Amino acid sequence: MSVESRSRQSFWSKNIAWLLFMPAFILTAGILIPFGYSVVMSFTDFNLTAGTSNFIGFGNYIKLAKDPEFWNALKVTILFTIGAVAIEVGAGFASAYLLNLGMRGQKIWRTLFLLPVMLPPAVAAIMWKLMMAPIQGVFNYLLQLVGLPGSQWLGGSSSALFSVILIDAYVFMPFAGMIFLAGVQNLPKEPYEAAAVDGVSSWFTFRRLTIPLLKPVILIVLLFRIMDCLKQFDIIYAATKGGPASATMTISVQAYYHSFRWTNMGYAFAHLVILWAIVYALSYFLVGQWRKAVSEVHGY
Amino acid sequence: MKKVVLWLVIMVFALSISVALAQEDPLAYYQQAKINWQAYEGTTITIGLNKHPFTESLRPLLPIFEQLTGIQVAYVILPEEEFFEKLLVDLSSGGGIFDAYMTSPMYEWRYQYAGWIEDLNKYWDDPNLTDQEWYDRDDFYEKPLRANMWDGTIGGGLGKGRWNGIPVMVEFYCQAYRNDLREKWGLTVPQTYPDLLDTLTKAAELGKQEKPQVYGVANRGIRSWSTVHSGYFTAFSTYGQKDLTPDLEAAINTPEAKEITQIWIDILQKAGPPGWPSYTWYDAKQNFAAGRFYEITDCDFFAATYENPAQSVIAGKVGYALPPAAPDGSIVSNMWTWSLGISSLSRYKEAAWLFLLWATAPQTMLDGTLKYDNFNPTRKSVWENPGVVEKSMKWGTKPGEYREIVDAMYAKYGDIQWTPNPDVTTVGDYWCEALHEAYEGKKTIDQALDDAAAKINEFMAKWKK
Repeated sequence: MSVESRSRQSFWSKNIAWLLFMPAFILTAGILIPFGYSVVMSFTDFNLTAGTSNFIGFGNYIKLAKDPEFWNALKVTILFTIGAVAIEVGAGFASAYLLNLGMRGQKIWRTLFLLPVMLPPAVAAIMWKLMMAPIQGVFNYLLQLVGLPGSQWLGGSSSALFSVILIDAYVFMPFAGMIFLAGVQNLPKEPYEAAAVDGVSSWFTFRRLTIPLLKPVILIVLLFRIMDCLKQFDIIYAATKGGPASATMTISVQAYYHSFRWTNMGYAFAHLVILWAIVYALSYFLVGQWRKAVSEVHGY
Repeated sequence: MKKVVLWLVIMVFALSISVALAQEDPLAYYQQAKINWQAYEGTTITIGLNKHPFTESLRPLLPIFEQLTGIQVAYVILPEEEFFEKLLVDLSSGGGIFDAYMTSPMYEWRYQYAGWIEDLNKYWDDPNLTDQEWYDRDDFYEKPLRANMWDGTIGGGLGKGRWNGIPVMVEFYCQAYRNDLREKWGLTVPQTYPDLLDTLTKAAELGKQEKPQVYGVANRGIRSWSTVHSGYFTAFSTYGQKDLTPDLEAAINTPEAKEITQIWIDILQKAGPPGWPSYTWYDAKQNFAAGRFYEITDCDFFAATYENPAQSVIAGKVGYALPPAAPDGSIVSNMWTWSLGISSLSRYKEAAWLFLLWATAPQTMLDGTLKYDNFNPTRKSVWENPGVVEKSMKWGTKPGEYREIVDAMYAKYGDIQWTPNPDVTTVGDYWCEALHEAYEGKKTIDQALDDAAAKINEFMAKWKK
């Protein structure tokens, strides 16, 4: 072996760990650098129109704390998340149960069930906006056919939040349902056979067996959907732009107004850093609960 | 003798063919200009366009430009709100996707301040790029042309300094109403705003008997400055009000402003479309054309859609009137003009200028209006063209009704009412939020406008001297 090839070999053997680590490093840097930039910018008065970018310390955060619009956005974000996650988890669970009953044409039902997830959320929002149009929309037409009064749907401040929750549930409920279905299909048979021998009711079995055994799956669905709902932007913006008044103005939509409508980037970044902190704290808590549940159910 | 006759016949035949060919040659008109149209052959430029009748009139004509110059034109078309947001992202991020784009004075104030739009004067003054005599800039109506010029003075300076865009269409805000229903229901055309409220309330009540139901008035309502801009700002200005004082303080909450806002909100609540805050101008126009409203207080140029039987069920049934007057009899209309501007980030600015020259040349603008309904034209020669006169003369309850309104707007009532400043659309967004809050009953008119004024003052503080 020549000296040159020996030194080449020693270079690879010495640095192989670093080289293999490199793609992960680049990926992490690609995530962390923009994030770090956003955090830094949240301490400035960065404005695209005025061309300013001065360090103002916690100025944006102090302003946020005093801004009633931010507190309203936080309230709307939480209400939206609770409403959407409740429907998605509840209906997703029920759908998973139905899809696991072994009905005829089960494969077709499962494919149809997944269709909404394949739609880009903004497209789904526009589709629903047309169906919810108060005058020419199909929803009010159907309501009037059965003698019920029409609703203002996305155009009324009392109905708009519920309407965007419905759209979000339409798009993401199948996602929750499919994860639940996988969980239901992997449930161990023995405890159910033992329960059948003991002659316990199906409600008891569901409450005391199915729910505890599915706890890790439920927590995973909650983790994904809560994170997603807290950040939800495209459905709400495409459907209502945060209106009427500020009825559907979530933190993401408000940050968008401040950034890409009003060019007030520093303040927009402060919104997003706060949103990130909320998402991170909740995710941290849910992951902890999930680990605990996995250890309870699977013993590891 | 026979030979001579034969030759004469052949020559006359050949001459007629060449005359016919020359007339049909779409390039001939442009080739009269002392411009080297081929100077940037092989370039591809990208144009940002809004989903708008102007865009629909431009698209079929683009092959003429490509043939004339050898420049390829790519374009992106988006609905209005999404268009301006995409454009802002492109300009502010330094992306430079668009070489030229549709713009308007309200946006140009931001773009100019941020350095995102070219001053067209330097291209206009370059004899290698422009044949001023052929182009005939004096043919443009003064109001839309000067609206695209600004000297950068925050709070003033309109019509001076930099030239940011060439106007391609103009709109004012008038009343369009269903004359057949007016006669049937025994209503009159409102002359004042309280009268408008009264008439539309009656119309909304009477419309419940119709199958399908006819609603009182269509008006845009989405959470955007554009909701403030049309019928509402026209009413607001008619009452002698301004958005900002000369010191850039919000003036949207004066007693007179509150009085007219109360009337406007009453109109929307009693006669407006259900779910008004979800209404775009596209919805308002289409639903009026579908016969679902008695009146619309929005763009006058929508008439081209209403009067087109292929797009409307109410063609020939619409009356047009000036906006109602203030108690002192005065009338004011806001104005909007779509224009074409050049991005400062473009790598092909000269090619983009040739595109602007071509797209706004008298012949292109005439073709756009005559063949593809781009109303209202910004060139006098187009508005006065016999074909355009013949077409638009029929619109209204009597010959020339629509044209009289546009003429009166150009001559007297219409002009841009916003106070020039880079954050004008933010001012409008906050103002719109106040209208939504008042409409939804979340706040009184007083509270909503006072709160919006406070937010505007906070936002505008950076521009105050």
